[in-house]
Amino acid sequence: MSEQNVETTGYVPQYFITLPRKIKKLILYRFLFATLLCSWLDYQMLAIFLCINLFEVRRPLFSLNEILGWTLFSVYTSTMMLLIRLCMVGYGLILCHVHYVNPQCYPYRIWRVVNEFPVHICLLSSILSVTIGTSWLYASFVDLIDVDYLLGGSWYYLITFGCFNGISYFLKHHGRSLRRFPLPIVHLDMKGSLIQMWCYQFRSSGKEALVPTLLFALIYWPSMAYLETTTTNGVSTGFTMIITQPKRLFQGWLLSTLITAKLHIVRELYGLIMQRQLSLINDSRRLHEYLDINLYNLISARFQYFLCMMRMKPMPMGYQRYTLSLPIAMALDTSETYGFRLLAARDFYAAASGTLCSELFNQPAFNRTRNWNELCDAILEMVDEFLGRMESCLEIAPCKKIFNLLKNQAPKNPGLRSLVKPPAPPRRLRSTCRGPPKCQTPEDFWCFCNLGKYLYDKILIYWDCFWLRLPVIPQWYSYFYDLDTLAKLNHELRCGEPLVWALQGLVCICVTSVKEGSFVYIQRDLGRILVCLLKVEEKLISAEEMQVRKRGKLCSSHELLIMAINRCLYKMLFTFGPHLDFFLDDIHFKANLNQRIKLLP
Amino acid sequence: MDELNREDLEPRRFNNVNNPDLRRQIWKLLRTLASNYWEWFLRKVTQLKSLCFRPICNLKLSLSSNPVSLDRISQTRGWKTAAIRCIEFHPSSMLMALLTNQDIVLLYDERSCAPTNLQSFQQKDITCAAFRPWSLSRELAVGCAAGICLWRESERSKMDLKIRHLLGNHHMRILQDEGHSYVTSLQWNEDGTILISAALGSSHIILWETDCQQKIRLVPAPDSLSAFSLLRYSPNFQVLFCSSCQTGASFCQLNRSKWRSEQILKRSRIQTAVWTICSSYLLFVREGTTRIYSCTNDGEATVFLCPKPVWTLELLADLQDVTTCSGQQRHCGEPQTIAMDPLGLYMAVIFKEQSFVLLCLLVNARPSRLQLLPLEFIACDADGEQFPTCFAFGFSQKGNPQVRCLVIAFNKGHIQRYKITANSLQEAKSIHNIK
Repeated sequence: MSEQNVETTGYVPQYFITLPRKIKKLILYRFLFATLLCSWLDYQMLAIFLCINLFEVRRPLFSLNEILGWTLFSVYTSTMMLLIRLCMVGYGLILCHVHYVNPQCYPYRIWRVVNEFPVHICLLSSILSVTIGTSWLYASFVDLIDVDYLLGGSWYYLITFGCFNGISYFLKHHGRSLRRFPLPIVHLDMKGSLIQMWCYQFRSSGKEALVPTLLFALIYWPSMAYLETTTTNGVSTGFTMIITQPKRLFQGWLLSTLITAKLHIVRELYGLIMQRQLSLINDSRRLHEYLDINLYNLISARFQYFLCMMRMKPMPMGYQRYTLSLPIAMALDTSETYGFRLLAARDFYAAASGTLCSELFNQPAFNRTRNWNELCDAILEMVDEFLGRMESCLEIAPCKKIFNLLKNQAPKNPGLRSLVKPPAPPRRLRSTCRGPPKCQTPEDFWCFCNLGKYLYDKILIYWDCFWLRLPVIPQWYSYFYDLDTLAKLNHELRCGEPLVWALQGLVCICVTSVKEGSFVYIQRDLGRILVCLLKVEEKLISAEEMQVRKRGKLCSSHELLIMAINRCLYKMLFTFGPHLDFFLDDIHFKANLNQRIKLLP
Repeated sequence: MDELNREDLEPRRFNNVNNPDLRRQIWKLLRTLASNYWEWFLRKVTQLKSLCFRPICNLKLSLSSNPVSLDRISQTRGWKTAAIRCIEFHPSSMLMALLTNQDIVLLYDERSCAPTNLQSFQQKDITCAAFRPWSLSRELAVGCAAGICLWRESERSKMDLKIRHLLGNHHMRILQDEGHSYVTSLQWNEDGTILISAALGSSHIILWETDCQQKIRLVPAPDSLSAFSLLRYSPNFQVLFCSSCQTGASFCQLNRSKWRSEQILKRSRIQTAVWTICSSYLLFVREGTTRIYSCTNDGEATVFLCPKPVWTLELLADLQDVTTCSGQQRHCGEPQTIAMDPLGLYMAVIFKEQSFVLLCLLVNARPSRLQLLPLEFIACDADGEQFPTCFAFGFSQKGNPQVRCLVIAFNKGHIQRYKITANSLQEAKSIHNIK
C-alpha cells in the first residue's frame, strides 16, 4: 500500500501485461485512435495560426498556396510535426499510465511526493517538449516575415513564452496531484463531444491567455532591452515595445491560446477516447480470454453487423466474439488496471438497466445460468476481496489504544471531568533539570562549573530566535511528516470504488428480473447478494467509527460507497421485502431484514 | 484544307464576338453567376452566424431570467401570489413537500404531526422540487433563483424523532453553475444518481451527479437559444421531454449511457405536459389552446435494428366545454397544468380561469385509442372565492400503494385532499357508475 507496487517489465507496466489479449487490443486501438485525433488537431492549430498570421486578403489564392506549401508540402514542417507528435504520444502514455495504475495512499505526504516525483518529471518534460516544439514551429513562420533573431525579436519571445505557458499549465493542472480521466456521466456522440470540447476550450483558453501574455510581455521586453543595450548594442525595446508593436503582443496571445487549448484538448481527447463506452455482452469469459482479434476481424464483423441490421436480426454471438465486445465478468475482473475496471463497472451499471438485462433473461436456459453465475460470482468475489482487505485494516483496537483515546478525549460538557487524569503539561527543554542542586551556582559566578550551562543557555536562546524567525520550516516539516493514520484504510476504500457501480448494476438486474417475471432464475442468489450488501455496509460503518477513533479523514470513496450501499439495500428491501420467506431460510437474518424494512422511509 | 477552314472560321469568330445578342447573353450569364455566388455567400454567412450563436458554442446571451418570466411560464397558477407554489410527493413513501411563497419548504411526514421547515437565505424565489428516489436520508432538491438547494436529512435525526425539531436535522448544499439561475424544472433519474435541471438563465440543461460532484451541460435544442421551462422524464426513464420557454419542445433519449436529442414540436409554446404511466404517450397542451394532444412513439413504422423514433400526434380531447359522466356541464377553457395518478388511472387538470379542478379517468386499453372520461369538478370546500394553484397525486397509506390521494392547494393557502382507492379501470368505472 505504502509503496508503489508497479512492477515493470521493460517499458510496459505489469498491469498491462496481465490483461487478457482482447482488453489489451482494445486499449491499444483506443490509444492509437486518440493519437490520430491529436495529430489532426495539431494540423488544425497550425492552420489557424498561419491563416491568422500569414493570410493576405489582397491576394488570397497566392497566400493560401504559400500556406499550403509551408505546411503540408514542406519537409521542415513535416519533420517538426512528427517530433511534436512523438512528444504528444509520450504525454498521452503518461496520462494513460496515471489513469490505469492502482491508486496509492501514503501515510506521509513526503512519501507521496517522492514516489510521484518520476511521473511528475515525465509529465513536465513531455508537456515542455510539446510546447517547445509547437512554439518553435510557429515562431519560425512568424520570422518568415520579420527576420529578427535578436533577443528582442519575435522568435526568442515566442519560444520563451511557449515554455512559460507549458510550465504554467503543468503547475496549474498537474502540479499538485495526479488526476485520472473523469468517468463520463453520459456518453455523448463523438461529433457533439468534439465540437463542444473545441468551442469550450478555445473560449476558455483565449480568456486564460490574456493575463499571462501581458505579464510575460511586461517581464520579457524590458529585460531584453536591458540585455541588448548593454551587451549587443541592439535596438532599445522595453515598455515601448508593448505599445508600439501590438502585433507581437497579439502573436504571443495567439500562441498562448493555441498552446493552452492544445494541452487541454489533448488531455480531454485521450480521456474521451479511453473512456468511450465499452460494448459489454452476456457471454462466457472463457471463450474470450485467449481470443486474439485483429483489424481484419473487426472489419469483417462490422460488415456482418451491417448485414444483420439490414435483415433486422440481432448479430449472432459467434460474430460478436470477434469484435471488441467484452463479457461482463471479464471486463470487471481486471483488478490491476484500476481505471479500466472503474469504467467497466460504470458501463455495466449503465447497461444493466438497458438491453443487457433483457438479453440475459431471454437467452437459452444453459447460457443464461452460466452467464448469470459468472457475472454474480465475479461481482461477489470482488466484494469478498474488498471485505478481506477491509478486515485487515479494521483490526480491533487494543486496550492500550482505547486508553490513549480516552486520555486524549476532552470532556464535551465543561462540568464533567475527564475519565483519565490529565497528563502533565509538556516541559520545555530549558526548564528541565540541569543537574544536581549542588551544581546550581550563582549566575554571576564565572567558573568552569557553570560555563557549560551558560553556553547551553546561549545556544538555546539563539536556537529559539532562529526557530521563531523561521516558522515556515516546522510548518513544512509537519506538513510533509504529518502521519495519516487512515492511509491504509483509504487505500482499500479507493481500490473498492468500482464496487459502487458494480453492486448497483447487480441490484438493478435483480430488481428488473421481478418486473420482467424472470425472478426464478436469480432467486437462489438473492440471499447471497443481500448478505454481501449487509457485510459491506457493516465494514463501512466500522470504517466510520475508526475515523472517529483515529481522528483521521476518510476519502471521498467512503461516501460514494455508503451512498451506493444504502441505495442498493433500499431497492432490494423495497422490492423483495414482501417475498423474503421465499428465498431466505435463516430466521435471524430474516428478522434483521424485517427490522430494516420498517426503518425505510 | 486546314487553311481554308481557318479562313472560314476566323470571320465567323469575329462576327460572333461583335454579335450584341451573344454579348448580352454572356453578360446575363455572368450576372446570374455572380448573383448565384452572392446568394451562396450570403447563405454561408447566415449559416456561420447561426453556427456561432448555437447554444452548443456556449456563447453567453442575455436570456431574460427574472421572476416576471417565471410567473408567465410556471406550472403554478399565479405563481407570484399563490400561497403554495408547488406540491411534491416522494416517489415511494408518504413524504410530501409544500413550497410556500415565503420561500419555505414544509416537509410533511407520517411520523410527525408538525411539518419540518426548510429555509435558507440562499433559497429565494423557489419554483420546483424533486425528492431523490431510493435515498435513505430523504433528500430533496429545490429549484430557486440561485440554483438548486439540495436538502439532506442527517443520520442522527432518523434515530430519534424527538430531537428532530430541537436540532437542525437537515443540512443543505447548493448546486450552482454559471448562468443557471431561476431553475424552472427538476427531475431525478431512475436510481437517484443524476439530477437534471433546466433554468431560465441558460439554453441548456445540466446533469448533476451529486455524489461525485460532477456535472455536464447538454443542449436539447441545438438550433434554439431559448431556455427550458418544463422537463418531464418518461416513467421508464428512457425519454426526457424538454419544453422550451418560447416555442417548441424536444424529446431527448437519455438513459444511463446515451444522449440524443430531437426537436419534435416546433409550433407555439407547450403550456403543460405529462407522461402516461406506460410511457407510451405524452399528453400536452399548447399555450392559448384548450385541446389536449397525445404524442406517441410509433417505433414499428421504421426499419432496421436501431429505429429512429417516429412521433405521431393525435387530438385527445377539447376542454373548451366539458360534460362529466354524471351529465354536469361546465365551461373550462385553457388548461394551466395537468397531473397524472401514480397508477395511471386518473388525470387532473387545473384551468387558467376556473375555480375548480377537473378529474378525469384515462382509458388506455390497447389497441384502441387513448380516451379521456371527465368524472367530476372538484371545487374548494373552504369559504371565500378561491382558485386552485397547484396539485399533485401521491400515496396516502404506508405500505399500500393502492391508496392514493390528490392534494390540491388553493391560492389563499387552503389544502384539500381527495382520496382515490380504485386500483383498476374496472373498479374506477364501477365507483363512478360508468358503463
